[in-house]
Amino acid sequence: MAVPPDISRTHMELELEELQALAAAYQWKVSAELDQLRVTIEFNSAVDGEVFVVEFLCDDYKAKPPLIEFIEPKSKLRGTKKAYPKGGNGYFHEDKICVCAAFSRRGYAVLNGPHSDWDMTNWMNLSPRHTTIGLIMSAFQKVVNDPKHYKGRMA
Amino acid sequence: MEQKTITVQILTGKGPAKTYTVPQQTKVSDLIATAVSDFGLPPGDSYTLTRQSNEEELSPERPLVSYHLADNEILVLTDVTGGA
Repeated sequence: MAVPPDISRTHMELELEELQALAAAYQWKVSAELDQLRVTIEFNSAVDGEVFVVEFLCDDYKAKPPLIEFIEPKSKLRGTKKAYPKGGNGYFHEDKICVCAAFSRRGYAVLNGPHSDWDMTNWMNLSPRHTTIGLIMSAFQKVVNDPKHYKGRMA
Repeated sequence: MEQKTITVQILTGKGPAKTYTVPQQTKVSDLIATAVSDFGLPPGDSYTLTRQSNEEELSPERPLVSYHLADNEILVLTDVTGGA
């Protein structure tokens, strides 16, 4: 069942408020287009200073997880290997070029993701510690700051 | 004898920072458990605390005092499991 956009927007507004402290600490550049149900966040790797841009498209949120896509900072090309970090403790899938986790809509086979074994409507139970944009972003920031998990850009 | 304490700030992606003043000998894992509860996060043993200043991850079994943290140092509570 589709979620009314106003409901999705209300979730986004709350979550944008909640992530402010972490955004300030890591100097994220947060751009919200709430009419489009879209949030874009620019952040850096502490390992090599690389800049990453990630977009959260939140239609049908939170009945479905956000549609997460990385964007090349300069060319603005979407979903390319150059846009994505490499590694990431399993978050960044090199064959499908997507965020591969239950909190990412593109991780599901219905959107050409790797997982036919997940039910998208159950995403918050499958991924209970990453149920908000801020919690997802905290994980992304952590993995690109950690040389164990981060190997530069995919391409 | 009065216990020495340490004050740290903990950040997550969910809400403003919370300040904790705890005995210096507090184990990292105990502070994590308290913060997870206070932030309303689901319990689990996969959370970590990381120093925001230098990205050093704190070992859960060690006492806070062993890290020589600065007063009011910012620690970031994160979980990076779930990648598939």
